[in-house]
Amino acid sequence: MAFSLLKYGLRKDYPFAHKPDLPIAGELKSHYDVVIIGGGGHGVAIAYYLAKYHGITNVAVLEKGYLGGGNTARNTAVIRSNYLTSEGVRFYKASVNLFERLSNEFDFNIMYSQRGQLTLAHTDATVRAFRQRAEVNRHFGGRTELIDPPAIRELVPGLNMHPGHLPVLKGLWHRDGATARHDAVAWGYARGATQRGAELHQLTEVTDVLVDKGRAIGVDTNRGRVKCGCIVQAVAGHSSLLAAKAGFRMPIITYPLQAMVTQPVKPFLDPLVSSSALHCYVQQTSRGEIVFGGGSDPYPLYNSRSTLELKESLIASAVEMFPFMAKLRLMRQWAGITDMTADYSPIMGLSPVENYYLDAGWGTWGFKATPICGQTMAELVASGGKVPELIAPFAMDRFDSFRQVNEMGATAASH
Amino acid sequence: MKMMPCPLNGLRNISEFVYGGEVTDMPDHTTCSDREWAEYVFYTDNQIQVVTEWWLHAPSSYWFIAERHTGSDEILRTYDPSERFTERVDFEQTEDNTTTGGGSGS
Amino acid sequence: MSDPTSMLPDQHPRRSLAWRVWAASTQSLAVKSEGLVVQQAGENDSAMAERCGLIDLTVLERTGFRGRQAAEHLESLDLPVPDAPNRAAVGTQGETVLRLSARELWVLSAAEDDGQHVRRMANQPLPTKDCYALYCQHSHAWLVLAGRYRAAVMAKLCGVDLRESAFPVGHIAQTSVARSNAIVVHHQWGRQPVFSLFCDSASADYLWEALLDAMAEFEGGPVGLAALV
Ligand SMILES: Cc1cc2nc3c(=O)[nH]c(=O)nc-3n(C[C@H](O)[C@H](O)[C@H](O)COP(=O)(O)OP(=O)(O)OC[C@H]3O[C@@H](n4cnc5c(N)ncnc54)[C@H](O)[C@@H]3O)c2cc1C
Repeated sequence: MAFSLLKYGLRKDYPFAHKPDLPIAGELKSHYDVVIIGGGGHGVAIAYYLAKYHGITNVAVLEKGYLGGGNTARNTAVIRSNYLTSEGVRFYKASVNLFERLSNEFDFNIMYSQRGQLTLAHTDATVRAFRQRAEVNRHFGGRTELIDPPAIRELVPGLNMHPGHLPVLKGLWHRDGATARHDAVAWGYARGATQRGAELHQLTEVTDVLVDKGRAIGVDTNRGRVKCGCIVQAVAGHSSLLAAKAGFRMPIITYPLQAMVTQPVKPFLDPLVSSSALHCYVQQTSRGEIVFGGGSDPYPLYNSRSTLELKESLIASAVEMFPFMAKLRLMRQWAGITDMTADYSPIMGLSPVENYYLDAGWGTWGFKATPICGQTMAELVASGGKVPELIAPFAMDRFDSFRQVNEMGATAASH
Repeated sequence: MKMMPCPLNGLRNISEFVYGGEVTDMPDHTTCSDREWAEYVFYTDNQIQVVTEWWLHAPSSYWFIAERHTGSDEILRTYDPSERFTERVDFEQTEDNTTTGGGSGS
Repeated sequence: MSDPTSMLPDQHPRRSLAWRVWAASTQSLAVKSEGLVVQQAGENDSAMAERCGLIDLTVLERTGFRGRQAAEHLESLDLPVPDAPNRAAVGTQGETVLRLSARELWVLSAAEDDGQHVRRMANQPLPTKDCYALYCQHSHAWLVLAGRYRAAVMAKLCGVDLRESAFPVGHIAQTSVARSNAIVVHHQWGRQPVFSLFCDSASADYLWEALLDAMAEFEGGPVGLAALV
């Protein structure tokens, strides 16, 4: 038995002919139909849907680091659609629907786990806002309701119902709330895109954007010049830096967002739980670790350092919510660089430069939108700039006409 | 903890301070276009560079100006706003009793 | 008015916002500055005040001025103006003047009087230009921490070094105490040097409890006015 196993293991085609998930990209071509800047989840999802639905495969995704090594690798993977505005809910609901089928579509397990998400209200004002969110979410087909303390206690037995001076009054219970393995989402999209002919070039940094008479015509990279039919920028925290290379400013400010994770413990927490007043959200991963995070850093910065003050205040809030967490040890802590907009909604669509498309302003909440961004941005690119209705409210020029889509309250503590 | 030198209170924990946005010139809102006003309110350079910013020392309600690098987070200099703003900014009353801005006063 | 010593704190119209948290540890009350303060908290107030004692003086009179002419205005009222921000000085009648910034000054009533000096001062006409009244009576609570362990207590709650060597009498620190904002003044008040803490009136009871919690290891607790004046 042991011998035959060894023999099998030594066979050349063990366990079957080796086919890597991602082909190694060769030289950069001198021209592509589409260049996508940023190989995070969004960038590769756009390449995937361009190939899958529009047959556009002469596409290069240029990533300065490695696939999904930016915020895609750093986020806490809360997936939900219980936002406040109808524009927002409609859009995120479409994304949640796509997420539900993604493992099947990829034939690749993204470990999608629909455990529900619970947001706690500690003040009457929050209860009122939650009522509105529940109604809007239901209107667009989401499963969201307001629940009372006894129901909350049943869902989350370990929760402290009286943290400090902030008793838990109600909960916004979002059954569609879920989580997924973030790396797998990036890998699933990248594999699907490259199998269909798109190229993913890692360690390829865009150093300049070539604009001729108001039209984007190519990029300079650390590996040479690439001409192209059009460009999509999907670089999250670096959005303003790329935009400056293309010659315009954006209504974005870059802030770090930190998160951390404890040692693993036995399963005790099924739903994702967040508290708007304590600025803290907590979830247990399938490995048993407790991931928790909170609000953005208090001032702008392009630096993923870690700070004592955030740790101090966030741990204080987490322990208020789940007192037994005081006994746990922290395992890891990290940060991502996030592109925040004033209204906590994204910036998608056209830019002041022709043929230069924006997928930006994703701040602290863009992982959940990865599938729908891929789909709508691909549609925008394939149609040569016809903005899909679903993302029209997120045009950058909404700020010029003061038509913001305010999702601040529905975003801050839950992402 | 990271510390910041406050021109009034000396070196203090960064958690005592509140960020107040970049120091920029306000356009005359009675004459500027919507686009110019939006530029002032929402659009930013947001580059990796030294920026000049408003900061508040919260326990003393004291506003001052800091020069800080947005990549290294190094605080290069902090100073009292009187170095830049030498006159009081008054908002004049117009006929219909709405106020109009007096500019940045710098 | 009925005898304050037998009165329940909530029967008096002028009382501190934090009275509920100290009402239980009170033996007798007194009226000062027309407001209610603790006269005696327990049997050994004096010993406690020697180690570390806490009293809520929120009802006592204080006022403030802001503007380019604020310092001149105080000088015209015969009050000393400290020559630098974050310094305090005591006037001839016992008032403490706090210089919180170049153009912002507060005046605290003396331990010995009933606040009439400060009240009179607040009613004086202001200079016509560049001097504005700054109301700090109802916006802030005033807690006093007395005793030789006062700096050791504060070291548990505050990032600024408040030991005598770094923070002698006459110094002010505007900083974070137990994670909420406060102005800490080191001054002579009554018989001894104390820390006066001014915090947002809404945090008065929070800060009271945080201070008591920090004082416990030094066997400190609430004390009455009699132990200080
Ligand atoms: C701590 C944390 C927690 C979060 N939690 C959640 C959450 O729970 N739910 C949620 O929905 N969202 C969350 N987010 C937000 C989410 O992570 C992001 O919005 C999302 O991942 C953005 O995806 P992206 O593909 O656009 O960006 P990224 O994954 O950051 O990809 C952008 C890529 O662009 C590359 N790039 C940048 N400049 C260049 C250049 N010049 N040339 C080439 N490549 C370049 C970067 O290297 C990077 O890989 C969180 C974020 C953080 C930091």
